[in-house]
Amino acid sequence: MSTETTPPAAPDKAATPPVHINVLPGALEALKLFEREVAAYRRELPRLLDEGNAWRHAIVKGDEVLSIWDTQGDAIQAAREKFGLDPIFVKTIDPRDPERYALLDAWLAAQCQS
Amino acid sequence: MPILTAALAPQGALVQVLIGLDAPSIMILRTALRPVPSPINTEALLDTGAEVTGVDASLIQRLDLPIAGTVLANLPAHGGFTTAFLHDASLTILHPSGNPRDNLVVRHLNVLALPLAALGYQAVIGRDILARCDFLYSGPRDRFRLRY
Repeated sequence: MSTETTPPAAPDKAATPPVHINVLPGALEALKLFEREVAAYRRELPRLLDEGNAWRHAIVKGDEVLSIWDTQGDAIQAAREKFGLDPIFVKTIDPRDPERYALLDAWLAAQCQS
Repeated sequence: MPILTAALAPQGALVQVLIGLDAPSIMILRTALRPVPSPINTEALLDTGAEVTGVDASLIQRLDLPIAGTVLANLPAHGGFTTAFLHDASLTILHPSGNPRDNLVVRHLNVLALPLAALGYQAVIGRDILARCDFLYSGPRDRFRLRY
């Protein structure tokens, strides 16, 4: 009886379809509306995490992270006092976001190709 | 700490909620002498799988809840990874006693706009709110308990 075993094949990443993202009505419009804010948040995320801000709440406007708050309520209040009822971008600083945005990027790229 | 107990519905653990504008938005409208929409009373599902609380898009439109960004969140019962607009809101879980002091009031939160109306409830209460609660789902007793 042979004792040789065949090692399991490594997953072929190129063949793996992107994780499905449930893009609800208006979501693409939201991504467009907050394109600069999302880009700024993604750019600043490593620094924010390095500085111990995980799970705190950032107010982002344009290309800049304006301020960081301990609670979502405080961030919303501060943003409303500054910007009134205009659209604001209050984002929980989530350590999982690099992977999540990568999933979204892959899904959006796949949509463009199909 | 108030305790809310109720029978399980076919959809799951449902509670009565009031959804409305959050306090900063109300203050802005009042200062501008603009009308403030009354909160809407509806049913919400307690959903331990949902990372973020969601509200049916039609309610968000009726209340004209202001836009507060966008997020990519995991809502397994509503299609997995989901991206949509976030809106500022307040949410109150109404205790069946009718005593306002027994209610759970969340004065500011961001809610996702979701298509929920066909599901028999118009909001899902996710872990952003459940993080403040003890939640016991007792299938054999056909009841649930929420303490906050």
